[in-house]
Amino acid sequence: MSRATLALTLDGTPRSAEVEARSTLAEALRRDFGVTGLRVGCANGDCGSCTARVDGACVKTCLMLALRADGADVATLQGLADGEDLHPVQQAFLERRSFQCGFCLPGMVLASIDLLARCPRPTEEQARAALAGSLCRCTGYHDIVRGVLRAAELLSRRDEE
Amino acid sequence: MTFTFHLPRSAGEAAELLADAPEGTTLVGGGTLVVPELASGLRRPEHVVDLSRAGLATISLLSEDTLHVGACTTYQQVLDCESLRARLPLLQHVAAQITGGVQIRNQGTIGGAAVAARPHSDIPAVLVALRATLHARSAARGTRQVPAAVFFRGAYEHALDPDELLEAITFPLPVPPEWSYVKLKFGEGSWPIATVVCTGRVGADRMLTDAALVVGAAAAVPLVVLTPAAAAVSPLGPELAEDLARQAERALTEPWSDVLATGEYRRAVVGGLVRRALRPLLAAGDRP
Repeated sequence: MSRATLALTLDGTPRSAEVEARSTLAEALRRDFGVTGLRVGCANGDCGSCTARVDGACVKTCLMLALRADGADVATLQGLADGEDLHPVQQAFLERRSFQCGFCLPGMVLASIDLLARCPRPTEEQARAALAGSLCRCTGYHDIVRGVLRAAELLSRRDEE
Repeated sequence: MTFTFHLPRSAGEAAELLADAPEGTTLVGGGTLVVPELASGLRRPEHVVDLSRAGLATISLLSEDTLHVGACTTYQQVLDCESLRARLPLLQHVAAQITGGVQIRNQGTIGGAAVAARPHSDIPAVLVALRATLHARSAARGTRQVPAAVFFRGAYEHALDPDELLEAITFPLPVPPEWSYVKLKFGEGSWPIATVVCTGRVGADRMLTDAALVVGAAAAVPLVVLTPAAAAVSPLGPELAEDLARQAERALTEPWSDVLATGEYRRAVVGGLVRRALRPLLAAGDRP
């Protein structure tokens, strides 16, 4: 079979589409499911711009064949905000000017959320290490790290309320 | 270019699929190395067999002296496994240092790294140092065991037959109590230029026994400088460290050259890395 149906849950909604067997999940999500909240930057697993959460784990979707994700729960950057209410990591990134073109955000934001779930009060070193799977061409990483630390503050403030 | 995609639910089913067309089938474990090759057209198989649902990702104690790690076990599973903390901390340490971020730790597999047999990588030398056994499975012949010491045949070359898949890796326990791991790379996103894996037991008399010293990422295959079979070499001290550093340099007769570093560079740094790797063991020898 060179095409098959891929059924998955995408940002909370059950979806299905016909995909080519040779598609990576990144390609299928973009082309067949209309997702723009991840990009194909290097197609080699280096840049992290294709990052999504699949069955709870951050992965580089350019490294997964699409059909492997049959039945999976997929969460992308697009599903984080609740209408106008941004996720604290998104809010923090805005406040700290943590992006310019935004291409790298899928990896940066999802890896940050993953870090803060495991380590609510990261050091700068830990924040920096958590971003190791992403490449950014615009910012020099400095303000992204500040964004992660600000997100930790916002999350702990939210938990105290 | 297209292929037929298969998602077998067991290792047996995967082996049968592979047996149908060994030369025209690509196996996918984690996918971190193979999928880009498929996407770019470097590999053009007729069939792709994805192993993610074949039940090959478990870690278990087969007995007090054998630890079983399924071939599709990810680096993150290694990190999350409580029983590895005490029994195989070296493997957890290496898993934590794998390049590529949380995503690669979630996706990359120990078995995939072994089968890829990349010269400039972490896992092969670790498997050799830990005296691991690789378990190969074919539909025609069942399973066979291949010691890590002979699994890596050359650059990108492993000892599996075309109709075999790697099912699991087992480690003999207990591992020696002292260990260290040194990895040289200059960019966060870089493959290693050289690694040194060291394990051993340091007696009250400061003698180093049951020791393994393996240089990784510096040649086509892991370079063994010391094996546990060797008798106690000499008391642990700066002279032994110097001796082993020079032995490593001399043994590296065909260092690996690539875009990260020339062979000459790898040979130039390996002695220093061996000395660095031995420091924790020297310190263990100095403990009262």
